[in-house]
Amino acid sequence: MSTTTVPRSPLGRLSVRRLLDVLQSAGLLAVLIVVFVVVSVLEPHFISGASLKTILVNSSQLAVCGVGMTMVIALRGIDLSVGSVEALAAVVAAKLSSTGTPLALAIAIALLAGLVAGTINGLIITQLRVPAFVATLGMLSIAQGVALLYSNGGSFLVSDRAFTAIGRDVVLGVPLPFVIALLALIAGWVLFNQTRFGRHTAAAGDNEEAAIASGIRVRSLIVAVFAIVGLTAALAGVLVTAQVGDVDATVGMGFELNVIAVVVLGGTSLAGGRGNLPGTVLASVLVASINAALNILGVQTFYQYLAVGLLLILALALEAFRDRLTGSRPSARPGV
Amino acid sequence: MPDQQPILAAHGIVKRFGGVQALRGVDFDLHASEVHALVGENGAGKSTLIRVLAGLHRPDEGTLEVNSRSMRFGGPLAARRAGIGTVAQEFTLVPKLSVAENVLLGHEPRRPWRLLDWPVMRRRTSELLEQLGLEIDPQARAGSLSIADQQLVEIAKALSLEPSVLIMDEPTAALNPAEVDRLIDVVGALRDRGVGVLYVTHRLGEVFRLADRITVLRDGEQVATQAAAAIDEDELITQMLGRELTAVDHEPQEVAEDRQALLRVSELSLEGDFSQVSFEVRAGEVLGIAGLVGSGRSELMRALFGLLHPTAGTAEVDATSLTATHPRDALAAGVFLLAEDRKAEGLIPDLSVRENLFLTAAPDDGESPWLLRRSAETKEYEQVKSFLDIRADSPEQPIPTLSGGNQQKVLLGRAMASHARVLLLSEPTRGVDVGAKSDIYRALRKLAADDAAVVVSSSDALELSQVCDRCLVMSKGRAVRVLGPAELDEDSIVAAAVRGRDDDEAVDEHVDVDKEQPA
Repeated sequence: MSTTTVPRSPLGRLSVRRLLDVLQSAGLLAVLIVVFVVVSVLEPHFISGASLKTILVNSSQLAVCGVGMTMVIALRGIDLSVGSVEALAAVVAAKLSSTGTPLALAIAIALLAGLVAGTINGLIITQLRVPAFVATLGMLSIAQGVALLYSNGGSFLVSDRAFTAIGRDVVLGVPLPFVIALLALIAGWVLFNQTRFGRHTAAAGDNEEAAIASGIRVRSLIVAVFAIVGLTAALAGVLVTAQVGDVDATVGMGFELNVIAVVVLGGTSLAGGRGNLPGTVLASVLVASINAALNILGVQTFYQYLAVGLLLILALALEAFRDRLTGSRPSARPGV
Repeated sequence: MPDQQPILAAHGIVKRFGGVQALRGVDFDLHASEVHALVGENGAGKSTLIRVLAGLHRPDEGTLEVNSRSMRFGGPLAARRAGIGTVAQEFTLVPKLSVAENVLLGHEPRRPWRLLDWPVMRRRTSELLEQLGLEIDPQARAGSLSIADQQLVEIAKALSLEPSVLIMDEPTAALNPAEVDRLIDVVGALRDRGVGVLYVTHRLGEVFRLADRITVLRDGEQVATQAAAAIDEDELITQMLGRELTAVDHEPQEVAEDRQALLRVSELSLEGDFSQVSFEVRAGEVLGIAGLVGSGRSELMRALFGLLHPTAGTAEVDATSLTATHPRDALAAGVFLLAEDRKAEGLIPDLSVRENLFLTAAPDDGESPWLLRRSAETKEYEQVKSFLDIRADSPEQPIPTLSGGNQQKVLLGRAMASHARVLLLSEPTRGVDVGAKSDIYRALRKLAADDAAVVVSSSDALELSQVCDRCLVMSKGRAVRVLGPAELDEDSIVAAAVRGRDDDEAVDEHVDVDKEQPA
């Protein structure tokens, strides 16, 4: 029962952890700067306003969905269906818009589709007691199938200028998609850090049994958090349509891996109980920068997959290292 | 014994963790056929010393000799090879494997081609279990055994390597009195066979029943090593605490008839666990629930809190029917449960003391219950802290850095934060040390004095006799007796709990138990 085996800094364990959180964000920032400096030396165009804008635009989908994913992972869950749900929302918005539905309604219906898919994930997990990993793996295929059926395998060209403007407008020098990502971050941060709901999410992810015995309705919480990540995936889908203007049901392929990578890179523990939302958004910008750098250096696009994979493994190795430093239990993930 | 060489001798062991010195030059030796008890409060360094001896920690200074041969600290495997067996406090059994597989895990008898020799495995396991006087099926799944049996299987597992030294870390923490007796017999038999036993426990009664010598640690320092016969319990406690224990100045009292019955339970049943249990608790009263493990008292508490669902009977809180299907319902009705397993069902380790306190309840300033308000929480935390005498440096401290007793007080504080009036406390002092125990007793008496109705379920009869006004004794799922203030002492509680088990017909006249047979 003695806790003397846990290495303690004079500040106590969590202080070490908070310090590491800050270090992680600082580390991300440092890596980001290194990428910029190195690439700018090799290719001076890189630092231009145009490519900065591209980076921010490209990071927005990851950041938006990362906000939802951070909460799911803090709850010790995972959502593998975000790529398919993103694609579903993208084709729903595109098809409705191209067939004359008012823009606001088209977007609302697309977002609703994501919310419903997420809610169904939550219900499968809580009512059928299927682990999140498996439930959302099923949903990955189902949402993909629904998107293909709905689009009939074709693609849609968005003709509504107001829609594509969402992907191109600039507010105070910042691309609108990134402004939307920042708004999602603020909303997510308030929800996760400033409300009882957020504390309950962290508690349930940390020690589910204790959360239940403390009077938290963990099942409702799981459904709500999965609904939120579905909604953020759909919002990412709407952004894709607005940016690309021409989408089909395959747009979200591989998206889930990227989203999980930025959440982990951002400092959220796969062991649950903690979530670092600003870190997620920062990591999204980093991943988008690395992709842009590889592009501008003329590296074949396929190498971007390697880069993301390596980053994900690096982030997990860093997390394991942190766990050893803070003396917390390893990030094993039973049940997922 | 002094003429004999010790089988295990550690000299000047120093162990630091970062800036914290966990052991400050401890000497420890153990002879064959000896039980050497190691006592001290939590954080005194007992676990660290054990882990050093078992090869799990490399000490910063000091030497270790096993059988007069100097031993390098080569890890747990080397320690095991040198003949040091360990029964860890936390269970290391693999629940889905059979008892035999668990006992011989890692050194299974083999047939040619490295195939497992099942008949030999079963036979060896049966032999080991028999030596311990156990009737456990070697083929049963470890996870299906009771906690007590799992504990004994752990011992069999440690003995399978025929160690000359056996380290036992709080082996009785989860056992009921009858099982403790059995375990003590087992340890005695091991001693008679020449095994040297290092025995760590919080229960001083066991120390005096078993130990030949006692070593006391405090704050990593060796306070004393002495023959058990040369010291009494009070002196030992003084050595452990570094001061004299302040007694709990409580005499059981009849709570006035006119006090309102806050919790009224009638004929409550849960098939397979308990049946037709009736009792009431008044505001200001502490009711104990005694009974052996398996008597149904833990399940009764969980059922009242909505973690289990009773199959018949009723419960009323403040004359309003209580139907809790989730702990949230119970909390809303003013019922709070301090769970039996603090780590598994109480604490959220990643959150701070303050966040743990206000996990579900909001502070009382009438503001929004959804948004978190740190300053209001901190303010109310200070009140709870001083009321319950929680010793923490800061509300922002992570909860695992508090001692067990203070963690428990924070959890009791949750009951205050949620304005619970009926407090169900399951094993409130399990795993906490002597000093913290009396703190917790004081805290719960204070809560009762503040007009809460407190129910304490405990396997420790002494504890019940010290904190309760009345005590309900359960046996085999039934309430067999209620002891009033006049007859409330340790012996009568134990007698009632044991008698209830031996002879079910002997239902006392005091008892409000239905005469019908259980369904």
